[in-house]
Amino acid sequence: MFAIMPMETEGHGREFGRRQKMRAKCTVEFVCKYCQRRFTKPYNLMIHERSHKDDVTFTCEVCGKSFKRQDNLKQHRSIHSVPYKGSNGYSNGYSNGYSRY
Amino acid sequence: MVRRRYRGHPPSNKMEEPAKKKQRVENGDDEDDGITEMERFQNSLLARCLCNIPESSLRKPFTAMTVQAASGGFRTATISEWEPDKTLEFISALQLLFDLAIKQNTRGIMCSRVADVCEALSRNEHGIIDQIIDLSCTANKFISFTASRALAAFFIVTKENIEAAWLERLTQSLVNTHSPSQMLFTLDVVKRVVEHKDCSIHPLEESDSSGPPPNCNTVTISDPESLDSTPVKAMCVKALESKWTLLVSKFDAILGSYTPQHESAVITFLELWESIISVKANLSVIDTKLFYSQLDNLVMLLNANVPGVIWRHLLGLFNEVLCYGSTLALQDVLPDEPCSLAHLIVRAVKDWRLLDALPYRHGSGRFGGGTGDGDRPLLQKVILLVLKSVAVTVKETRSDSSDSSLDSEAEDLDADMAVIERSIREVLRQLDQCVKALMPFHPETLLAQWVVQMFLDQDDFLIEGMVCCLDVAVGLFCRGPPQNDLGHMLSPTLTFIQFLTGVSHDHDVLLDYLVSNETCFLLYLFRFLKYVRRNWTEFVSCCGRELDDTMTVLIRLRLAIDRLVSKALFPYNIIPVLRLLEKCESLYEGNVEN
Repeated sequence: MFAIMPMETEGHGREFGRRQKMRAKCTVEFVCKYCQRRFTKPYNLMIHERSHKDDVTFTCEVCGKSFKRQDNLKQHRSIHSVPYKGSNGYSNGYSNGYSRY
Repeated sequence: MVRRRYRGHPPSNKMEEPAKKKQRVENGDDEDDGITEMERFQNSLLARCLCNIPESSLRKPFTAMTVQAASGGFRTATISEWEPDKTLEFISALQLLFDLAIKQNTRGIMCSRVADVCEALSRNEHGIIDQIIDLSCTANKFISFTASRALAAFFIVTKENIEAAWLERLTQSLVNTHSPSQMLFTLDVVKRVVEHKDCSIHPLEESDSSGPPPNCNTVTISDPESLDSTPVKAMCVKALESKWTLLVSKFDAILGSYTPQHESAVITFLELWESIISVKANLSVIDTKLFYSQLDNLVMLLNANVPGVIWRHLLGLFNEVLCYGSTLALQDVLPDEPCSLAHLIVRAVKDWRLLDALPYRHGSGRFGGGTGDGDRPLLQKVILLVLKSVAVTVKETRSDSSDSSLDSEAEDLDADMAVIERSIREVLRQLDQCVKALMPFHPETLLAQWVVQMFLDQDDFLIEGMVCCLDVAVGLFCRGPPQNDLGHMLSPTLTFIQFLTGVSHDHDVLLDYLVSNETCFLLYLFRFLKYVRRNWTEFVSCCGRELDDTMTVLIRLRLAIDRLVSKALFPYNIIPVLRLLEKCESLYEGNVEN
C-alpha cells in the first residue's frame, strides 16, 4: 500500500506540477455540442467532436458486411468468388460514399 | 396447495422480499392447440406485430398469477414467487418486447399494440416494473441477469417518462445492500442504459427486418427527439450522483479488503464509472463533474493485493479520465481533476514504484504468471496511463504559463520545466526498465521506438501513445534542445519511422486512420507535420537513409487525400493537414535540389 506523501518539489516550495493556474483569457470559446467541453480553436473542437460520433465504416458492396478499416475490407473481398474489380480509386471501397452507423 | 388463475388486478407496489414459497405450475392450463399464451405472445413479437393477439390474451401474460394465502383466500402472486423457468420465460418475453419497441422506435414506425403495451407498462399497470425491481433480491443469477437486462431496455423505451421512484429504489438498494448480487443488479441496469447506442441498426439487418409487417396497424413516430436516449441516461446518472460519494467509499472499502465474491460487482462498478465519463457516452461534462473526483484512493489501491482483473479495470478507468488524444491534448486550459490524477500517477511511478507492483511480474517466466507473453494488454494499459500522465503534467505546466508576459513568469516556467523534466526523466526511465524487463526488446531500443512495437496490435493505444510522446518532447524542449538523453529517447521522428515500418509504408493505412475516428491519428499527423515543418533539419538528419521512404509515404498520402477532396468524399475538413503535407513536400524538394 502506498503512503500518501506530501507533494513537494526540490527547493520550489510549491506542489509538483501545480503552478497557480493562470487561466488564459480567451475571448472566443468553442463549445462541444455533445459534452460542453470548451476549446479555443475551432479545428481542435472539430477533432474532439469526431470522438463523439459513431464510427465511419467501409461496407462490402457484395455482401454488405462492414469494416472499420479499408485494408480489412480489401482482405475480406477475396472471399467472394467473383474477384472485386474497382473502376477507380478509393470511392470503390465505400457503399454510397462513407456510411455511418 | 397452490392454485393458479389470471387476474387483472395490479399487485401491491409495496417493496417485499421475494417469497420463498414456490408454486406448482400446471402445464397446459392456458394452452390452446398446444401453444401457451406466452408462446403465442413471443411468436407474435418475433413476427414484429401484436395486432393479431386479442386484447384478452394480450393482457394475460401481464397479469400476475394468484397464490393461496395462509388465510385460505387468494392473493396476487408476485413474479418472484413464480417458478424460475416461468419467471425467465416471462422476463425474456418482456425483453423481446422492449427490444422490438426500441428498434421500431428507431425506424419511426411502430406496431400500435407494441406501443400500447409499452405505454401500459410505463404506467406501471399490474405493478410489473416494481416486481422486476424486486427481483434484484433473487438468489437466482439467471433471473437477476435477465431482469436487469429487461429493466434497462424498459428504461430506454420509456425514456424520460420513467418514474424517479424506480431509480431511487434501485440506487438506494445499492447503498443499503451488502449482497454482491443485488449491487450487481442495479449497477448492470444503469450501465446498460448509459452504454446504450441510439441508431444501433446493424448494417447486415435487412431494412424491413424490425419494422411492422404489412397488415399491421402502425403508429408513426414523428418526434425526432423520441430517438434520443440522452435524457434517460442523464436521469440515471443524476440518480446515481446523489449516492455517488457513499458508493465510492463503499467500493473503496470493498477493494481495501477484497474478496473474490465481490469480483463481478466491483468490475461492473468500475465499468459503469468508466462508461459515465467516457467521451463516447456523449454526456455533459458539467453533469458528470462529480464522477471525476474521488479517484486518488483508487490509485492507492493499485497494489499487489488487488488481482490483475481489478488492475485492468482500474487502469481502464484512469485511462478514460485522462482522455488525452480525444480531449485534453486539444484544450488550452486543462480541468483540475485529470491533472490531479496525472500528478498522482507520476508520483506513484517515481516515488512509490508503482510499476513494481504490476501483477504477474514475478510469476513463472517473469511476466504472465504462466504462459506466453503474459498479460500484455495489462502492460499496454499501464504504459499508456504513464505516458498520458506525463503528457498531461507537461501540458499543464506549459499552458499555465502560456500567457506569461513578464520575464519573471518566463523564468518561473523555465524553473518549473526543469523540475518537471527531472521527474519525467525518472518516470520514463522506470517505464523503460519495466518494459525491457518484461518484453523481449533489445536493451538499446529507445522508448520512441518500442512504444510503436508495444502497441502495434492495439492501434488506438498506439496512436494515443505516439501523441503523448510527441507532446512531451515538444513541451519539454520548446526552449531549446535537451541537455541529456531524454531528447533522443523521445525523438518524434524515430517514432514516426518506426510507425511507418509497422504499417509496411502503406499510405492506405494512414488514410484509413485519418478517415476513421477510432484513433486520434488526425491529431497526431497534424501535430507531427507541424513539428517536421518547424524542425526540418533535425527531421532530415534523424531520418538519415529513411528520408526518401518516409517522404514517399507522405507524398502518396497527400495525393490520395487530394483525390478524395476533389471528389468531395473526405468526411471532414482535412485542408489544414493537406497544407502541412504540401509544405513538408516543398521542403523535401528543396532539400533534394540542394
